[in-house]
Amino acid sequence: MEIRYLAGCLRNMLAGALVAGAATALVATPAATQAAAGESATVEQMLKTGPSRNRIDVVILGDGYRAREMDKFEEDAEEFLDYMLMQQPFKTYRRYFNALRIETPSRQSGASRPDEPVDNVYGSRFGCFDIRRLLCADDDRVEEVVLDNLKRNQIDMVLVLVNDEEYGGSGGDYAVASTHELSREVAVHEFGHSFGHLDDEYIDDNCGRYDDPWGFNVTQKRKKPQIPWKVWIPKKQTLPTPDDGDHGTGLYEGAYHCAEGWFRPTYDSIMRTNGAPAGPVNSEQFVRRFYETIRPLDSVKPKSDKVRLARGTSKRFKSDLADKRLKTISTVWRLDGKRISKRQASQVRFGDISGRRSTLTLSVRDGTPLVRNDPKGVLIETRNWRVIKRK
Amino acid sequence: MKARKSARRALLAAIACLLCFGMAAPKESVSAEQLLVRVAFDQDTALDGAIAQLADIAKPAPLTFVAERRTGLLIRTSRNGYERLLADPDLRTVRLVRGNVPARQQETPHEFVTYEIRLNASETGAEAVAASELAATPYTASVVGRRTGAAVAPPAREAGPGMLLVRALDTAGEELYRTVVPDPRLVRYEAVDEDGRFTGRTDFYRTEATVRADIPADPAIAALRITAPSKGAAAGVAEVNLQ
Repeated sequence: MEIRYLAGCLRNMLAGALVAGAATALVATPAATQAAAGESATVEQMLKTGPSRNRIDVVILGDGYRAREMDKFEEDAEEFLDYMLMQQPFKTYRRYFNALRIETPSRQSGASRPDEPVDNVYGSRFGCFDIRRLLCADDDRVEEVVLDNLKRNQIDMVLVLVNDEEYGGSGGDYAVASTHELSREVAVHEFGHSFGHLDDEYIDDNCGRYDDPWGFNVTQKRKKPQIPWKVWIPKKQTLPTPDDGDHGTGLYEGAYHCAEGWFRPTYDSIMRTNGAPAGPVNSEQFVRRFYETIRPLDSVKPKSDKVRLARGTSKRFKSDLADKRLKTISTVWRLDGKRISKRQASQVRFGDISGRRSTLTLSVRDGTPLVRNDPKGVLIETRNWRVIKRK
Repeated sequence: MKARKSARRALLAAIACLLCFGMAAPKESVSAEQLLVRVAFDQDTALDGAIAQLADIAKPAPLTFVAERRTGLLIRTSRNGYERLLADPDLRTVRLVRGNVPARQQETPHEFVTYEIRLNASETGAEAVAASELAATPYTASVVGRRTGAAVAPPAREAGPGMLLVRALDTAGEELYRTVVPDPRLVRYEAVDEDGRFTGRTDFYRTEATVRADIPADPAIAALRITAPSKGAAAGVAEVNLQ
């Protein structure tokens, strides 16, 4: 499915002419580049599983792709999306994701280097802030294109994918990654920070520089009752857990940039090593974040929470799950607290109503084994209807 | 015989209650936050086992045994615990006996405006500052754009690292609304070695960046205050007047 958002026919033609001209002799100015970015964006839906208001929308912008390289951008974006959605727990919950890519042709291929400027749409360049591998983009241009072309509820995770094979990238409000294999893996780690609210589990020379972790996967606590992921630690696990190999979920010393005093839940994970699995504690946090972003129910019928029934009639109530194939989801319908159905729809007859009115409750819960600790109850959704006898 | 059995059950219940929850035997009253709920299983279940099972279903919400009735067990729990019990398909009945369950916050009927607030510390002369220099870098703020129509009620985000808290204030400085947005100043670099192991991280903060915050279109909103929340404290970033 292709959706085109164009600022106007005339501007579109002008932008098209600029793009076409770039292949021959046009020397682009920064202003012209910006105009092209704003006016000639094509939004392509890569994955559509449901309405954006109840999906996690991944947005991929291509930088350093010329108009004739859009097929390559499509392939690179698909490759990134496939990679991300093959990782757990994204794989299990892939039907909670939509994905879009925004095509904005650049005049030149690749990213700029300190001594080699490239005229690309988002100003992607290596050597940002004097770090050779730090690949960053112009945040204003990125935001402008995203906001001009998408609704606010279509923007949950943003990646600028740069058509350059050199390793590099950055994280923050949005991630930037080159097409180098390592870069796309780092981008998933970056989503671990920005979307998953996960902290680094590796050691570097920044110990003490950071003192404000999210605290889902790193801790300074040594006693089991105080460890955030205590429910994942087997009874006989040694605490702290010897850091000489994988002994299962425990309390491994060395995390949050410090060799001592900070602990992580597993020997290795995506927050420690590029390309490693998320591990149970980080997966749990990802799943909780999925459910903080979307709800298990896409919609219910009837929409009104007050339903009147005439004598001799009945009403069918229906739940529409965000992922009907997710086997860990359970549905329960209760009339005045009494379970009447475990199916996705339920029927209430006039005769079922006790007294003048009854309360029908629909509860949906994801009982996934990936989550053992859900303090906010985000894996549960409850809807109520008042069913009233019509006189 | 019957009386002895009943007394034994009551004793068991009290022990189970004390063991499970470390609380004294409860009365049949509920506080504003607690609900009195009647629960029935499909099959007869021993009382102590039933209480433990219910506590497990409601966990981490508190659950306290109140009494055993012919129609089921009376327990006290929070709203969170009640919803967990409701969602358990193996419980035949989960009925609210006392207490109010206020409706979950509905989607706000407000129209939203996306404020584009430019943060500026370019007087430093640098494109970005290191994280260690951030506290000593004063930012100014100005509204550079307002977008309506496309804005929707923003997702409920948690304040934490890499986030900014935007508070909407009235003329008296009272907070009318708040939202958490990603900090657009932050650029994070993480290096990896040849084995893919992360070896270093450097955080930079752009000296010019645009915060985009969805705020209700409320004429009473006079100013926006932007802070970087951290560990209970909120470091001021900038404030901008809208009137």
